[in-house]
Amino acid sequence: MGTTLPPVQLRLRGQPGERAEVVQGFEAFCREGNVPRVVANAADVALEEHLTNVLGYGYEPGAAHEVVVELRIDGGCLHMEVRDDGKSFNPLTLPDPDISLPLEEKPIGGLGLHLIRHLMDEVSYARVDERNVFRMKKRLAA
Amino acid sequence: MNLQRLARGDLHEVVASGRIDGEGANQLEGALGEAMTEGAKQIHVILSGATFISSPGLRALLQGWRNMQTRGGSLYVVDPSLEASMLLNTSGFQGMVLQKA
Repeated sequence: MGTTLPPVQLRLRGQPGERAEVVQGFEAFCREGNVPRVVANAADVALEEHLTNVLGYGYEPGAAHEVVVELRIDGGCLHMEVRDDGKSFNPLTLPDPDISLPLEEKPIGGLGLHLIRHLMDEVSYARVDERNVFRMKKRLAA
Repeated sequence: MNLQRLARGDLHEVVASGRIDGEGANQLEGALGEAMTEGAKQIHVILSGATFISSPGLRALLQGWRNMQTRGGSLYVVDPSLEASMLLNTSGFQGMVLQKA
């Protein structure tokens, strides 16, 4: 189960190989924090989905950017905070897709945000100092 | 991600293992397309070694499933890992998983 571990910050500034470094940094943090496998996997997916949305839609192609991911274990929970200086956008305003539809009718889009909402225990959005701040929280114990 | 493809007559197996992220999903989509081009009537996507799958991977599976339906064939996910199962269930993709007898 989670242990006392200093917070970790990972940055994305458009350099080659950064996404892989974030994955490696996330995995190392979870290993050192003894984050249970199921929790780490859920958080890994949620972080990947959010970063994909931010980098895919938050900036004009080729625009300079800075995205900061902070990982923290506190109060029996894994906390992930993503701050970006992209376009102001609250993803939580988007509706959830209807996943009860049969495969023939299931929408192709919108799954990423659905996964974030359902894999995390809490998600929140704020606009602070011209940055989008997206927070995700997952309890370490079932 | 590692990808292997094996044809046994009309049945083609696609074994995807490791991290199926956006880039991995593109590779998976390509492998499914190749299997269809080669005339597969049934595709089994074996995910026992998948340590991670996100929405692009799910979309590749869904698109492949629909393409096979259109062709009168079928696509099933076989033996999904714990990680893959969690994502398939959370997304309502259980109908794509081949249930063992």
